[in-house]
Amino acid sequence: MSCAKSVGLDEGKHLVQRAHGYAIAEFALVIPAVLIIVAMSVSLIGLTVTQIQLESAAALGARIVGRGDPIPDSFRNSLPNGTEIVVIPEIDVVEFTLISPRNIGLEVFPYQLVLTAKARARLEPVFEEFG
Amino acid sequence: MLIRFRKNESGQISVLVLALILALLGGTYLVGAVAQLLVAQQRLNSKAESIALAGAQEIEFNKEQACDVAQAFSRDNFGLKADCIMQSDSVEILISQPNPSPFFEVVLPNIYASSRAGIAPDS
Repeated sequence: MSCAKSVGLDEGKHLVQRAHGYAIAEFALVIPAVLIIVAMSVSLIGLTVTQIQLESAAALGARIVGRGDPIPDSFRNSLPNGTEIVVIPEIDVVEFTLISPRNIGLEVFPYQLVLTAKARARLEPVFEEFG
Repeated sequence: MLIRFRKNESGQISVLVLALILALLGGTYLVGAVAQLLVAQQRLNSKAESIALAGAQEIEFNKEQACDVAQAFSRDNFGLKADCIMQSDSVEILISQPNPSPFFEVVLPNIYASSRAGIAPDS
């Protein structure tokens, strides 16, 4: 009969499952998931605010162009960085479109969205002044 | 018989965090639904403004046709039926469209926007 001791558990010792510390380990695993969801919500709110700003700016821009005025610098400066202005005149209507690329706002997920806002306005008649 | 109770922490956080994650996902969906509703409302407000302005252009020289012009502009450009009220020196427009947000569709089937435009007084 061999007297060599087995590697691992000594004879007669029962395997004891250590349960302490599970809570911390599980918590550490789920914290990133929770943070990502919270960051997604915050990012979504930011995108919504930008979209509403673009919609409002597009309506204002359509009105300016519909009156026949040039687009002022103050209007351009008020737009988010990188916003492109597209003006499409039709017979008696002008279509004013703002296109703004936006990062989703998460460092781990550098995905870019393109926000678009479109507005239409009726062209105002121009009366020539005589005299 | 002596029974020793060993404190087992396994699974405590899992249940709690699962509930938390579900609540946060629900919250994110709610934020998305509110965002969709707000953007749709803003778009409808802009449409109402441009329709009212289109009608207001006719007030000075073609007052009787102001509502017709506004309604035609709404129909041709936005595909919306506009209710128009002609007042002494202004046009009031009311438009509505189905709510695009499925979350709020039950309680708020339609969204509305109104706008009024007219001739500014000389003063």
